[in-house]
Amino acid sequence: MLLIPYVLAFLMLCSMYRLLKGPTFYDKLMSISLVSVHIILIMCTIAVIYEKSFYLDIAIIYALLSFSEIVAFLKFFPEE
Amino acid sequence: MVILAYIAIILGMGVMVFGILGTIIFPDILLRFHASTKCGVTGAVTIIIGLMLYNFQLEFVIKYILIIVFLYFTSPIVAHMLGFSYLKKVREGEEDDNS
Repeated sequence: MLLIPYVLAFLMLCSMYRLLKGPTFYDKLMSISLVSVHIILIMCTIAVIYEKSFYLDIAIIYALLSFSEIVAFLKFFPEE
Repeated sequence: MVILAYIAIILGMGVMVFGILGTIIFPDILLRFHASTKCGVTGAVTIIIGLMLYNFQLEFVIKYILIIVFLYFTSPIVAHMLGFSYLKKVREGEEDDNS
């Protein structure tokens, strides 16, 4: 169980490949959504390891933030 | 219970690995969207179910269920908005080429 956040962090680094080298704007937004899913999972795993339930509040708020972030990006910069 | 939790976590991590591999090696942008939605819903929700089986207490389970419901609602909406705005941009480009 202690190994899982490191594996998830490695997968998060791998999913940042399209953020650095995306040909279009939409690839970068897709990569941002993947990275935020990984951050939610790392927060859930840390909550299990330390047995504190307020890390799950951080995960819920981060899920809400990532959703509204991508919706706002697509709303205000629709043609990049 | 713990063995089931580890099985679910490893299964979800396998789905995650294949989804990220798809976003790295696929050549077309719509294929990459297809791969990333697999990662966002299936892998993440399977890993969260595994963590929920690992420590089965009330305050944790309520928040895990909230996160699962939120991911199930918002992840397809995000993928649909990305694909739809990409398609709209492509169609506008074609109209500009025709005119």
